[in-house]
Amino acid sequence: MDKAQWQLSKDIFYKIADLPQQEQEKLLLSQTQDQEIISMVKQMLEQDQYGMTQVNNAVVSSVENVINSNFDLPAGSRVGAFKITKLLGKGGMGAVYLGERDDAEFRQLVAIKIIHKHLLTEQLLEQFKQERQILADLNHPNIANLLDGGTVNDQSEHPIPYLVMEYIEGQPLIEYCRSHNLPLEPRLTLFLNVCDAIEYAHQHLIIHRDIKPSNVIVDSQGRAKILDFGIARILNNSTTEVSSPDHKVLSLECAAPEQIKGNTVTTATDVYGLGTLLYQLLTECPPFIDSKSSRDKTLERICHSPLTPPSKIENDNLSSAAFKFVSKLKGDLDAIVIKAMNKEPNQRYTTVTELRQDVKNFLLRYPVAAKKPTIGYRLTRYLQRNAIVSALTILIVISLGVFSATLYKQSIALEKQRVAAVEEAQISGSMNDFLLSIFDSADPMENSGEKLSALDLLEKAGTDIKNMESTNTVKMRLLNAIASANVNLNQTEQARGLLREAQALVDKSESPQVIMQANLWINWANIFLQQGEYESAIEKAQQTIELLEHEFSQKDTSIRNEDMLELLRSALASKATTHSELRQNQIALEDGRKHMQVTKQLYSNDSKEIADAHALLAHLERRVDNLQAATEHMKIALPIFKRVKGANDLEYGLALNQQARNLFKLERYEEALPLTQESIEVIRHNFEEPTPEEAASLGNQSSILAALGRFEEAIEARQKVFDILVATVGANHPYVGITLSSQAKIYEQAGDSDIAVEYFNKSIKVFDDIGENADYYKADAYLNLGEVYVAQEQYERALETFLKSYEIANSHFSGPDRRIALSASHIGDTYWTLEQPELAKQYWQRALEVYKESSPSDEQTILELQSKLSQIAP
Amino acid sequence: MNQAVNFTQLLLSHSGGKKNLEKELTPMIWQELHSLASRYMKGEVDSHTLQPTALINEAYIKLVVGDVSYQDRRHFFALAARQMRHILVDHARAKNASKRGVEFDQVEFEENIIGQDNHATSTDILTLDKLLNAFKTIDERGARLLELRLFCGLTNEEIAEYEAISTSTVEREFRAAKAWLQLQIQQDASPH
Repeated sequence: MDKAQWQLSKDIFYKIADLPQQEQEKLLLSQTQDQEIISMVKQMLEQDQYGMTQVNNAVVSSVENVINSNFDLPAGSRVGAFKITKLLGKGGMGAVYLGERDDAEFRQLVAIKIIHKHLLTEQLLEQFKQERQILADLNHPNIANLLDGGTVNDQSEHPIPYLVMEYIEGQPLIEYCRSHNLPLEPRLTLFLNVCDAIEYAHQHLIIHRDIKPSNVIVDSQGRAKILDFGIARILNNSTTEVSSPDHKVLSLECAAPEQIKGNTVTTATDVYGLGTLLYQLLTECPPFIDSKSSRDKTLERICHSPLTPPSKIENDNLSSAAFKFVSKLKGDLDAIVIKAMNKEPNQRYTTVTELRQDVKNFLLRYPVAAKKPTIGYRLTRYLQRNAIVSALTILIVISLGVFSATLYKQSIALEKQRVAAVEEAQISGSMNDFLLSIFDSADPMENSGEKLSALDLLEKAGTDIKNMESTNTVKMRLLNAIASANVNLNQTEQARGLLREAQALVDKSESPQVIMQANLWINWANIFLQQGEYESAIEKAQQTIELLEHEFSQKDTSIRNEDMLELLRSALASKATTHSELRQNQIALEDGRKHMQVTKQLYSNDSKEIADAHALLAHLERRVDNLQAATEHMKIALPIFKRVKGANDLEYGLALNQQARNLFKLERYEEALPLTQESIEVIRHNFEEPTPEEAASLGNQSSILAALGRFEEAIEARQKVFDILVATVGANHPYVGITLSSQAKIYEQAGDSDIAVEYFNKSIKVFDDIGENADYYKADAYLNLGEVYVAQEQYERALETFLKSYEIANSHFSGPDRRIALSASHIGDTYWTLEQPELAKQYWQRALEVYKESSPSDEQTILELQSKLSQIAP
Repeated sequence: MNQAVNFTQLLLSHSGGKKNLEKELTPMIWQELHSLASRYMKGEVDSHTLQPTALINEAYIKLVVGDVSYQDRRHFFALAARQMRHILVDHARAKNASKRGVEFDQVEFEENIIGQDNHATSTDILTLDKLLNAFKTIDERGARLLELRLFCGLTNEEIAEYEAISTSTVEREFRAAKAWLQLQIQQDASPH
């Protein structure tokens, strides 16, 4: 057959291949008379129905042949003190055999790796020995141990190096998690074990480079063991004579961008690898890989595409355990994985220790360093941590939710009052039954011995409502109640679902549902606030306020004023907090004041609600640097808190510290000191172990002591703060940077400016490592450092430092912030000292501009700036 | 690293014309593939996961640094497929030669792969090589597609991308080429 005949055969084949058989024949004969072509096409049609397995097999087998031909060691032969039992696997590097100790003392199964002789050179053999020594030093419970190593002679008397490793019987990590249906927490614990091992290896200057689930085996006792540790490195460093630099075969599931690009591999590469491992523990599928795209595209994606957060992954093949925890991934775990898997090595966690600490923070419900430290976030973390302690707390939280639902009670039209009363009794009855039934399942007897956490209870409650047969009114209220509880516990995904269902019922309802609608919107506002979606939060709060105000204007409204006022109060609190997060401090303060007015209409002067409103105002006044007012508000709130919540109440303890801070800033040190002491005692009373909260109060105490000139005590307290923080939130946390800054300040006050500079730099280093989340604090640290330089009369340095602070503050704060003003003002001062009045003027003007907006009540500073500016002749 | 940069530069420069480029690149690819193949540690039992695809892609990752155009990639994969084929064929020949001169005899291999269809008969790399050469005389592009598919493990989409033709054309061509190949193997295996 020639070219033309084949081309014709192909053309006919294309034409008829997909036709029914009878038509094929007919059409074929109509196309050509060439018997050779007719026969060819007929045979092609016949072959068309078969795959090409045998051709593929031929290729695969011959690849195997190439590889297998390289090395063989007969079974039964001795390798050192071990006897080879059978071949486990074979490859180009060499082979892995199962062996056992060949003496009577004890039986031990081992994996023996024998290195391919073709790869060996004198130099390599030497390196191999050195590296083996390093591996032998790696003695860690989560690393498969190197037991022995040496050389053995093959038939042709070539010395062949070998390694004897602990033989681990068990399952690869993800397989283990799936087959044991492992919940989130034990998975994270396994992950922490792996981190431990890698961290340990890094301390021994060994980089793993190939951290992937199949390299982690979970043994029969449920311990994670890392295999092949350092083998990669041994081989990589020693095969210098065999062409390319990195012979490691990259597994796409864990390859870091720098590995693909051929850039330097560092410990950050292992951080990335651990990130991919965590990713797979959470999603049960590898990142960036999808079966439909080519390897090229996958490599491209690893290097350039943003990572889809674990919570957004849709894996149809999830184990039921993983399916259960999907909703818990959003937020902290997403943030941790994204930080660990940053494309830029220097944007990841700087060490495995930090990654491990952050996962631990998540498990302990401390704030994680990977998340932006907003107040709302810290607060919910705190609430979560303390609320999950017992189901009892949950009861309180739920009753809070119920409280907002009971508001609805009176919303039924007046004319229906009598009917409503009866209905209401029924509604309350079924709600109570329902809430009780939730807690029944907390009883181990009721729930086949399985312990349910408070969060599980809430989740169950959510599902139960959906399935319960009840009137829409009851359902609506319960949905809202459980949603509120979820909002309070930062379980926003659940809350969102519940709220949507409640909204659907509201929309369907024939009677107006003003109160219910307001409730739902307030919950939305709080969710958005927690999630940092501030614009949406404000919008929802504003909608609520407008809805209620409209209702107020209706003269014949059927709803009681009190209920609407209560909701208005919630909406205003939410809106004030959100504006405050956005540093829209003036609007926040206005809302806070309205909130106080509404609260006063509803509650007596010694009520908890009034105290709460004062505490909120104290916070808002502090934000505009009106410390005098903040202190006054706290002064009213504190005794009420103490009376209502008890002298040992945690919130009271935290409020005490706030007040101490205010007094400290007002330089009323003698008044402040006892408050910090009381605060520390209250906090200690609430926790068995030291907490970040205790560290905060202790830190405050330290600053006050320093201000009083009691430097030794101050430094001692500050050291304690540092220790507590490292033990709780970890060394690479904004808190640690802050405390280092504070320590620097003490040295500065004590007149030891050189040590002060050292500590400021340590602090800045911590913030640098954390990245942009810590900019807020870094700006402060630079400001303070600059002041030290001024005191040392190192004006050029001071200027440089202030400029950094100014730059960071400008890029970090969208609105006017005191830090911008402060930096600008310092820059102006320094230029003035350096006799550059034009530049001084420029910065002073900027400072004044920002100050007027950010801290209008700080009249003294404003006057000072104005007088400075007037020194400069126009 | 040096080698990778060097290779990429060569691939990008085309300085000495196509022929020279090939002359320079070929040994490098060969060396890389060979050392990869000989270093490829396969998993414990699942030999069917051992694909030439993986080897070729490893080589690609190592040898090519940074962004290269589709043109250059096409060039790379074409060369790589050719070289992979050579390595396998050379090896099979060497092995045959060592069996005391039974040249061009079929090399046996184990049929240990699950899921073969009944139709499948055993074939070997030398026969495949011979048939591909024969096919090339009547259908050059078809032979190239087969080579890319078999020795690089590229998908239809990838082949379409590198050959700058539509995926449906690749599918069609491949279907005919496959039928042809199967047919020849069939005839080859049956006694004449």
